[in-house]
Amino acid sequence: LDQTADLLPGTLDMLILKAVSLQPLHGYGVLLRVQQISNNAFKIHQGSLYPALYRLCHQGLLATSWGESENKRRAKFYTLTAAGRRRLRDDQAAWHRTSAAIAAALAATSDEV
Amino acid sequence: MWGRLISYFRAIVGRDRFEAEMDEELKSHIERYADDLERAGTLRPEALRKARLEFGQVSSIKEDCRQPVGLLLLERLMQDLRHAVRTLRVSTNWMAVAMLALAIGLTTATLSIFDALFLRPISFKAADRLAYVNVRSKDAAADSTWAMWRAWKESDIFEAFGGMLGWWTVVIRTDAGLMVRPSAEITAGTLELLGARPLRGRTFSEDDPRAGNVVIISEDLWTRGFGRENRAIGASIDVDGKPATIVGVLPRTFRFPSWDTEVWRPIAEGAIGPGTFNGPMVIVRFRSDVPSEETLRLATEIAHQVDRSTVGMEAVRDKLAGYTVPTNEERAMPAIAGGVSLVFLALCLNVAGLSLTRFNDRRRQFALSIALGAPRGRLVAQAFTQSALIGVIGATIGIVLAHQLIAGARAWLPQSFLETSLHPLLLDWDTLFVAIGLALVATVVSGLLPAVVATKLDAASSLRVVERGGTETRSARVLSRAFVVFELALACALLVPMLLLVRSFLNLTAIDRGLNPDSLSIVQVNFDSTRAADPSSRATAQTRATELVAALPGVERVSWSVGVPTMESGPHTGYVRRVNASGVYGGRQLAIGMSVASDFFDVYRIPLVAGRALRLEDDDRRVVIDERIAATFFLDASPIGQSLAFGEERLEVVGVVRSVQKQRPQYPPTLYWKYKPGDLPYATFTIRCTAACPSEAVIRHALLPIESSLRAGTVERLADRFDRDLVAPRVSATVAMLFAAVALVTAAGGLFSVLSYAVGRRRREFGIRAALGGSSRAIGRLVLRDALITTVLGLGLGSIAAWWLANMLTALQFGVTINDPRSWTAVVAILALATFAASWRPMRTAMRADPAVLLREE
Repeated sequence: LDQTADLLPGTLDMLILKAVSLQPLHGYGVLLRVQQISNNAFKIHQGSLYPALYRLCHQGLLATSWGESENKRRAKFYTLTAAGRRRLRDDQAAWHRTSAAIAAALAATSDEV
Repeated sequence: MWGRLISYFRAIVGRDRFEAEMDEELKSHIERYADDLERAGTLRPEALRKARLEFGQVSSIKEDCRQPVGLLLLERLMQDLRHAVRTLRVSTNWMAVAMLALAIGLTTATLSIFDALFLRPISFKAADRLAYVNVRSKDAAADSTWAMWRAWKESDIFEAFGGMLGWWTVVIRTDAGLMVRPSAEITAGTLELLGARPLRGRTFSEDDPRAGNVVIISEDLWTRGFGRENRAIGASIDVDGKPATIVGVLPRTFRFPSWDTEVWRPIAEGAIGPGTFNGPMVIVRFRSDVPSEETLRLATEIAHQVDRSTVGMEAVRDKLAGYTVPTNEERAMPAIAGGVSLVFLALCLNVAGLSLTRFNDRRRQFALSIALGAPRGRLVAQAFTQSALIGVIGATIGIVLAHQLIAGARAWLPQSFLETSLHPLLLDWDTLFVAIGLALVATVVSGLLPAVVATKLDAASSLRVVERGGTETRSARVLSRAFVVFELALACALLVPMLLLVRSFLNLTAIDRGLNPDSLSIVQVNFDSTRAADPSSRATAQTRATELVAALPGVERVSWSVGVPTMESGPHTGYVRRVNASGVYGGRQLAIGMSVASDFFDVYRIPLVAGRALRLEDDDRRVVIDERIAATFFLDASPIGQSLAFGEERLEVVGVVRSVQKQRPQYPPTLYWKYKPGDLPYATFTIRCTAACPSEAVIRHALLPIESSLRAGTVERLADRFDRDLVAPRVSATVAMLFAAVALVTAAGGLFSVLSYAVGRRRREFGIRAALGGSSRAIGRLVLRDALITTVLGLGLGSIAAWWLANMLTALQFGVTINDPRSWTAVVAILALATFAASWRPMRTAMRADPAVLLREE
C-alpha cells in the first residue's frame, strides 16, 4: 500500500534546503536524501525538483559547483549559501510555530471551548 | 538583489553553457535513477524507459527551469527578433527604414541648423535686455561717435553700458606658427555687462588701455597655446607683431561678439579701428524697471543734442547676435520651416502607408496563426517587435544622417554666415528625440494595426482573401487618395521652386563678370585719425604700404581705389544725368561712383571699350563710364567727350570700360574718376599676383611696421568674394534640391503603397476580369489610370502651391521666373516618370492575377 502523501505547497523548498544543509548534494542525491530524511513519507515528482533547485540558485540560497560523484561521474553539486542557511533557519522556525499552533488547535477538546 | 542581477546576467551571457549544463544534469539524473533501478533487478532498457517516464517531459521541465532566471522572456524576445529580422527581407520594410531615417535625419538637421542660426536666444545674463543701440531712420543711418557714446553713458539711462570697436582678425604668433584669429576690442565693463566670468585672471579695468598691451584669451587658445597651465596669466603672447600680456582666460561658453572670437583687447574712449566704421558700437543692458521704448526715446533726445545731423533719426535696438534675415528674404523663412514640417509629416505618413501595402497579407498571416492556436498577445508582441526593429534601425541611421548633414553644413556654410550666430552648429538633441519619438509612434502604430485588426476578427473572415465586395471601401479610397494627392502636390510644390533656384544658381555661376578675379586680393585700410590725420601723411603711409606689399613674393602690382568694382552700393551712390551741348539735363540713372588709380583697369584687367583710361594728369572732372551707363545715355553718339552730371558735378567722359557684372543685375552701374592718395581716411588697395596671392596673415604681417598710421581691415581674395556671393544661391539651390528629392521619393513611395493596397483588395475583381477574358493589358491600364488621375490632381494642387512658393522666393531667383516653360516641362516629366516607376510593381501584380490561384485561395 502506498503510504506516501503529496507535499504541502511551499514545503519542497524547505526540504531541499534541509537536505543540502546536511552535506553538498547533486540533484539526484537531493531527491534521495529528502526521501530518506522524510522516511519516504512524501511523493516528490522528479521533474518538479529541478525548477525548484534553479529557483533557489537564482535567489542566491544555493550555490553550485561541478565535481565528481561517488560513482566517478561528473555531477553538479548544490551547497547551502549563508543566505540559504538563514532562510532555512527562518523557515524552520516558522514551520515549528505553525505546526505547534495547528497541533494545539487539533488537540483542543470540548472542555476547553 | 545583486545576486539575482548577476544570475540573470550569467544566464543571458552564458546561455549556451547554461543549456549544456542543464542538459547534462537532467540526463545524469535519469541515468542514475536507471542505475538504481537496474541494481534493484530491472533490465537496463526497461530501467531507462521507466526512469524517463517517471522523470516527466524533459522539454517542459527545462522551460520551468529557464523561467526563474528570465531566460523564457529572453527566448521569446529572441524568437520575435529573429522573426522580425527575417521580415526585413521584404523590400517594403527597407523602404520604411529608409523613409524613417530620412524623416529623422533631415528634420533634425534642418531644425538644428535653424535653431542654432536663427532661433536660439544668446546665453548671456539678462539676455533679453541686452542690445546694440544705433541711431538711424528708415533710409539713413548715423555714424556712431565716441561723443554720442559718452553722452549716453553719462546719462545713466541704461542699466549697464559697454562699447566695442567691432571685430576683426589678428595675427597671433605661437610655437605652431602664424594664426589669423578673430579678435574684438572692447571697453572696460563690457565683459561684466555680458556676465562673462574669467576662468583664470581678470576682466579689463579702466587703466588697461593706457597701462600697456594686455589681452584676454579664449579657453581654446589657452588650451592650444599653454596646455591649460596657470602660467598663461602674466605670460606674453605675440598679437599683430607686438607682445601682449595675458591677463585673463574666458571660458569656452562665452562667445562674443562672434562664436569663434579668441582674443579680446581693451580700448579707451576715442580709439579707432580698421575698416570703414570708425566709431564704437554701443552695447547696453536696458533697465528692467523702465520700458525700453522710453529709454530709446531718451536716447534719441540725447543723440539729437549731441549731433544735430541725427535729427529725424531715432535710437533703435539691434539684436546682439543672430542672423538678421534680409527683409527681401524674410518671407522665405516660414516657407522653409513649413516645408520641413510638411516633408516630415509626409515621410511619417509614408512609413504608415508602406505597412498598408502588406496589410492584406499580414492580416491573413495573423489570422492563420490564430487559427493554429497562437496566443493573441504573442502575435501582437511579435508585430510590435517587428515594427520596433524597423523603428530602431531607421532611428539609428537617422541619427547618423542628421550628424553627417550638420557636419556637412558646418564645413560647407560660409564662415561669415556661421559667425552671425553665437552658437556652434551642433546636433540639437531635443529635436532629435522629438523626431525619433514621433517617427517611432508612426511606425509602431502602423505596424500594430494589422495585428490588432486580425486578432479581433474571427479567423474565418480574416482568412478569406477578399471580402465579397471586392474593392476598397469608399472612405478608405478617398482617404488614401487624398493622402497621395497631398504628397504629390507637396513634391510638385517643391520641385518647381527647386528647379528655379538651381537654374538661378547655374545662371549666376555662368555670368561673365567682366573682369578676371584670379590672383587678386583686396585689402581695406583705415588711416589713423591722429598720426595720419592730413592727406599728405596719409599719402606717405600709402606709399610705404605699397612698397611693403609690393616687396612680398608673388606680388605683381598694387593699385589703390575707394571701393571695389563688385560693390552693390558705395560711398558715392547717386543719379547720373546726361548733359547735352546746350547744358540741358536729360534722364537719370542711379550709379555708383568709384575713385580709382590710373593703373586700376590694368590690375583688374577690365577691358577698355572706347576712349582711354584715366591718367595721372587728369583732373577730378574726367570720368570713365561702364558700358551700361554708355548704353543708357549714348546710344546715338560716341560717349567720348560727352558731358554727364553726377549730383551737382559736371563730368566729361574720356573712356568706356566693360561693365563689371555684380551679383544682381538690379545693382547700379559704375562710373570711375581719379583716386587722389590720402583724400579720405579710408581706402582700398588691390594686389595683382603672379600666381596665388600671399595669405591674409602674410599681408597683415607685412603691414605691421606702419600699423601706427595705417591698419588693415578685411583682407580677401576677389575669387573668394565671388564664391561668397554664390554661397547663398548655392545653399538655397542645394537645400531646395534635397527637399524636392525627398518629397519626390515620398510621393512615389506613397503612390506605390496606395496602389499596392488597392491592387491587393481588387485581386478578386481582376481575377474575375481575367477569367471573363479581359486582357492583362486592360487590367494594367486600370491600375495606371488610377495612378494618373491621382498624379494629375496632385500636379494641379501642387502648381498652385508652387506658384505661391515661387513668388515668396523671388528674391532668390536670378534670370528665371515662375513662368519659365522649361522648368514646368521638367516638373511634369519628372512627376510622370515617378508615377510610372511607382505604378510598375502594383501594375505587374495586377496583370498577373490568375483566376485559378484566386479560386484555390478561397
